[in-house]
Amino acid sequence: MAEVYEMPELAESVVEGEVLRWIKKEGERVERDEPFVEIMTEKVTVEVPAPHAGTLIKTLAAEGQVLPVGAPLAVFGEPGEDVEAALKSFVPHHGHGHGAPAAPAAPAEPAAPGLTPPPVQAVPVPPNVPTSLPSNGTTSTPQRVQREGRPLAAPAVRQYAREKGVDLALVAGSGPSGRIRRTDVDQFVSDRRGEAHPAEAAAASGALWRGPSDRLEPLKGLRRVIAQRMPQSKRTAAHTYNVDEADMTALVELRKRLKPMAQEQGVKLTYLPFIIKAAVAALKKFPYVNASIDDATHEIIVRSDYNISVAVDTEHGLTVPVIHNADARSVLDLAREVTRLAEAARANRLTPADVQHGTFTISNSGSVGGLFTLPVINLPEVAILGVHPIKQRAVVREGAVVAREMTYFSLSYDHRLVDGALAVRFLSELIRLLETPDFLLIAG
Amino acid sequence: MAEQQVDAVVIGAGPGGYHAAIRLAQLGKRVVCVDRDAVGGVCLNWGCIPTKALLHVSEVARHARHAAEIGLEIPQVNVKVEGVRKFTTDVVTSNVKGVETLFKGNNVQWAIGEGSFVDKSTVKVTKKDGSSETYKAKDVIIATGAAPVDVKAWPRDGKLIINSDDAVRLPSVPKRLLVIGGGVIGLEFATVYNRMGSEVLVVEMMPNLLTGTDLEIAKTMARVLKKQKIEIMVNTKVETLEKGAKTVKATITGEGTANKPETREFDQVLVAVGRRPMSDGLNLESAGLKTDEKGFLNVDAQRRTAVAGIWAIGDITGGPLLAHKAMKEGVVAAEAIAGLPGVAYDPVAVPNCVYTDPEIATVGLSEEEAKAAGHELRIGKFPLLASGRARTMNESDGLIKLIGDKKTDVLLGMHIIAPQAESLIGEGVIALEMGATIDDIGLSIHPHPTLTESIHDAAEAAHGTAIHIINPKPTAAAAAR
Ligand SMILES: Cc1cc2nc3c(=O)[nH]c(=O)nc-3n(C[C@H](O)[C@H](O)[C@H](O)COP(=O)(O)OP(=O)(O)OC[C@H]3O[C@@H](n4cnc5c(N)ncnc54)[C@H](O)[C@@H]3O)c2cc1C
Repeated sequence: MAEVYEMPELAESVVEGEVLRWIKKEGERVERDEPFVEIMTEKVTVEVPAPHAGTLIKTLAAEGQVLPVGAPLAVFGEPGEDVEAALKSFVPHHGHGHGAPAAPAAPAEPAAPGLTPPPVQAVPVPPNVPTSLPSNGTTSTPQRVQREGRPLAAPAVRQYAREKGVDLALVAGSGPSGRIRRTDVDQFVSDRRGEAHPAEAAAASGALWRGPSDRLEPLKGLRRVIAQRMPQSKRTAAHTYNVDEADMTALVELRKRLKPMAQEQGVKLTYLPFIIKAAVAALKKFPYVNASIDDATHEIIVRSDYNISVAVDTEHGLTVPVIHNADARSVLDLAREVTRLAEAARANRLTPADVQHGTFTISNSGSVGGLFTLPVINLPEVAILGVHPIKQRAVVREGAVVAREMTYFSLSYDHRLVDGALAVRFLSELIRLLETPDFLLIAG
Repeated sequence: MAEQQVDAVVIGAGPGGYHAAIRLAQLGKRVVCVDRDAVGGVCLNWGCIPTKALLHVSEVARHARHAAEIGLEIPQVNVKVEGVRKFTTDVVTSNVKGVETLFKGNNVQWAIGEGSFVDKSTVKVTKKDGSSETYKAKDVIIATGAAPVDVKAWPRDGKLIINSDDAVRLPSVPKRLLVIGGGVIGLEFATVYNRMGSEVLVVEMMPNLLTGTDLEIAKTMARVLKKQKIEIMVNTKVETLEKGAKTVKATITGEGTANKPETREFDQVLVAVGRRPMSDGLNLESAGLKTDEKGFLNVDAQRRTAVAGIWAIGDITGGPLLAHKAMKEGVVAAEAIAGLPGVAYDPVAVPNCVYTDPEIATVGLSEEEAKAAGHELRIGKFPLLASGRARTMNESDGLIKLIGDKKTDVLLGMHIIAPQAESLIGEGVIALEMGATIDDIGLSIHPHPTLTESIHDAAEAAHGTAIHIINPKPTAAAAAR
């Protein structure tokens, strides 16, 4: 019997996935656990293993298409088997909601039998559901609208929805008897985009100017996710900034002494592990910086874990793997984990576990150059630390101008939870620990 | 052997195929349409069009016969088979010419011959004289339709034992006709021949005519047909046919014969037991394509088959075997091939018409289907007997039945037995597609005096507010309004 494989929930609170590449083509055989499709979610890219041996008899999404978790993705079976029947009897296992009230598992095709549904529901509309950030409740997770029977929409509205990639099962209708109008589809599309900002609205209406020799690339994959998440963070968090300078001379010397020892153990020692250590100690002192706001429940979640996200630059864009339980790790251990995650990120090999449950982020992207940057907060966290190059600069010590190993630290924080004084105290504490690295031994 | 590269090949020039070919051409594709027969397919040549011409002729005959009832004297109705044949052929020919003109005007290339796959993107067309040409294309649409099911034991001879392909050419008007099969095709021919003067017996194996149709509608129609002296036996089987020189002896048994075998003599037997998908000679294996066990090709919402670049539309894909479904699918496949956004075959419902006397037209769920789907029902009925317009037409048989969801009032199905039901049903199609409620229909002004106002009356009846019939009992809704 042909079997429908649905878009898996690849990481916690992930609601949709983008089909990056069909590793196996229709009609090809797969062995059990053999990767058959590459899926990218807002968190990770995964080569999905086949559930069991068989033939991939039908793929239900084009490369680049986004499907909600639980939507039919592919059909396995033996060649010639009835794809139609399999899809008809398909009932999704995954709900779409997390933290939101659960909608009853609606059958894949809500149309009443006998109303001549299209013989095959294959190649469904790409139901570009809104991208929601992990469980911070800033956007509602998409759900099937509860209704009697099929979504009521005129043929022209159904056509319009397909063109916009909107699944009408997710759209609430404002017309009589819940009929879905064209404006409801527009509303859904702009909700999906966060809210209609003038620039985005212009882009949506196709009004952007294009020169004759300009190159057009699809906005997809990691770039698409970043493009969605950054403005979302900017709109959600009350971004506020604090920058301070730090004298790293002692740390530079300490690292110089420790480097050969680390090397003996095969570990490349950078400044980052020390900064993580200092950050953890400072977070312990100021718990509100290691927290989240749950808008949906009006709660502040003060984290007991110290999971430090580290921004890694890859050729596809920025990813943010997480060093879990950073508070329980030695400097060498942290160094090892940083190296492992950076390599995995660049090779596109991060696992779902590698990217979830971050509580505070350190962005090293400013280390390429410049004086300092003000990074965007990685929701649902409330603060992000910017780390920058260490350079000899002229400073005044005891009345004399001397050369010291100097750097800047920046802190972008969400003023909804972190007040200015707290941010300044937090950053000062972090700098205090790094300027006198001996403290790191006794801190926390 | 000539070989030509085009953008798309369409195999079959029936309603599905010619729609696809013309739309592809409109979208700037170089397209060749292949058919072994005339353009227009079954629909224009052997199906919808010639049957409706015959139905028209026989309807005029019926009106003439009943003329005295309305004060007209028409002495005698004589059917001139030659003349009827000519009328039917002329209708078919001018329709076929019309499609040929559309092909020319749209630059659709037209290849006459037997199409078969060489590989998934190569189609060979073999002409009657044995010569052949080959077309290569990125996309191939299969629109080869369906053909009558032949019963092995009763081979068609075109004279005594015939199928619909013979009947549309009206070989004769037999005195006594046996129609095997009480489906759409069987009932339409029963109506044609009955009105032309034949004695007709329809034998149906299933418990009701028009299997799948709303039971009340099917039963009402059976009564109407009986009133017209068409004999009907359901739950009954034709066991054997025994051909003589000029007649056929049929042994029949079942409910219609009190479950005792009965032998009767007929001048002609029409076998109308169904249609089978037509993929003979297509050589699907070379394209890597397989049909399902019934011979249909499975397709997705854009009408793609399992093989990339091969599409299928119309009767060959199963579902209701109807020309308008094939047409829509043809347009969908063509637009999907051209890469238009958002293209899909997604009707809420496909209307279905039966040209009996009066006609039946239905769209959406039957009462039985609506119940099975878990709806609590709101039903509104209006008998044609109460229609002023029907009376002016000297007609009284008919029923309009609306089925809705009780909670939401949303229309689920519309079922009509009435003269011109096939035209009236358009309102139901739009209502279903727009997600209309029964109230939407009842609150809209319908013109008077017409048959369509009976749909309005049925909608009001659903709410217990009909004016032209005595409502069963005033409902709360009626009291509230
Ligand atoms: C008696 C009768 C009455 C009907 N009345 C109605 C009606 O009132 N309303 C309605 O909606 N439907 C009616 N139908 C059904 C309707 O005719 C079909 O649903 C419709 O014609 C299907 O269209 P199609 O394009 O799928 O294929 P078809 O019309 O069957 O056309 C297929 C074409 O493909 C050609 N072909 C097949 N194989 C090959 C090959 N290998 N090479 C080259 N050419 C090939 C055939 O010659 C044919 O011309 C009726 C059918 C019959 C038989």
